Amino acid sequence: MKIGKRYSDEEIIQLVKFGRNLEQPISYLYTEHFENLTNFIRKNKGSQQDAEDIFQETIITFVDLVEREKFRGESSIKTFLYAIARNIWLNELKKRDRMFIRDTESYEPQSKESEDLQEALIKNESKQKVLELIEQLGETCKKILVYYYYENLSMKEIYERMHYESEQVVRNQKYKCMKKLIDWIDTNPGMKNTVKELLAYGTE
Amino acid sequence: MELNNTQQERWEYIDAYLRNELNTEEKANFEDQLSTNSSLQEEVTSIRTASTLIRSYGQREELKEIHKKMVSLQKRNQDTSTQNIRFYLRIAAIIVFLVVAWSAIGFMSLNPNSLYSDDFSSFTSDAVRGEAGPKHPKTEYLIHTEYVNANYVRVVELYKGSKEKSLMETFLAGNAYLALNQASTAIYCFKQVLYLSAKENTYGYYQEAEYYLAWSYLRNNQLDDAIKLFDKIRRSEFHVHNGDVDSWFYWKLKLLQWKRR
Repeated sequence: MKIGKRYSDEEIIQLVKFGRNLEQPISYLYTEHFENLTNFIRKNKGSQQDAEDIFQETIITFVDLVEREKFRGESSIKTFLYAIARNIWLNELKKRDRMFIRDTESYEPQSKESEDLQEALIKNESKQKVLELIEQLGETCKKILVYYYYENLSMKEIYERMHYESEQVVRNQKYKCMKKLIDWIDTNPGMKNTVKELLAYGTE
Repeated sequence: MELNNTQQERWEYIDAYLRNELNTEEKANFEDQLSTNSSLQEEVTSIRTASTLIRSYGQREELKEIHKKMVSLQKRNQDTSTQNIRFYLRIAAIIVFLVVAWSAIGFMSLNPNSLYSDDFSSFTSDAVRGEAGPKHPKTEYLIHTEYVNANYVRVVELYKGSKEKSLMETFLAGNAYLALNQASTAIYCFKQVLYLSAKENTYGYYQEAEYYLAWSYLRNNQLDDAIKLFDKIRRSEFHVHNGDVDSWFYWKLKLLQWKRR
């Protein structure tokens, strides 16, 4: 699996931190590290599917940490990805009540980076639960909200892309979706607190 | 856009503020109201919270899409590699099959006659230099001339009529008998050459006689005798026919011996 351009660690950090288009740098990480990291998981009692899932979670956690400037370059991206993957897989094994893992590349939790990593993994699990809330909004709502808030499209662009009758119909639909989401958060105190914590964690 | 309209219009205005789409004046007015209006503050917080969640969700979805794409690309590449490996394995299997088939056919068809017809080269000699005389007695001269001209029957006739059979005559007669497929007589002649050479201490034809004796044994189906003699020639570095008994030829002889057993 090879893509054309090569990126230095620093370039990847910059692109992930500030870029909206993650495809190129992330695809590059897959090209460079997918095989070795999935092998690492497979060697440690993981199936191919486990390995793929862990790699996906590793990348999500990596992007999250880089965006919040928790990756300080104390190690190379490769080592950092291994550390993330190893920790996620250890947590997963603990959940599955397995005791043994063969260490291949140690990354001892001594640095601040490692502490941040441990914290990020805990937060990520809560975040995943919160994000599942958005799944319940339905396909149309998810699309409109992601187009507007993540891809920063205008109402006109969304109307064109989703083939609505008018721009106003999109506005009305977006309002309904947003209201539904906010009502869910407001009416669920546990959820509200988790969201607040996550937002506070993200901006600290 | 006015803030005191419907909730939908208010939220759209808040979105415009959060997306930095208001002009300086609108932004200043909005922030004035925001500083004093607690319910507006709550609404801004709610929208900011929800939009942050949606951004996280959007990013996660984008990463999942990249994951799907890259994993499928990886699998495609693996499939291609596997196909390539299978292709080369097939080629290798065909080559192995051909080699095995060729060896089997070679093994099945291997016999003393085939070995003889494939590998035997008859003794060649230049025309006898000079004329018949004391150096080249008349019969010897004639036998040699007839041998060079491949008149083997005539060689045998002359040899039989020769009163004093020289080493050269006996050696050429041995070769003529071999050419005429009379291997046992050829064996007798070559043995005579070896015996007389040792007796007279003249070794001009000794090694040649050994070599053609080995071939005569082979022609006469005396495989063990042939192998023994060929092995001796193969091991004798200074034998004139050492280079003619190579490992491949010797291996075929051993194979033939094994096949007979």
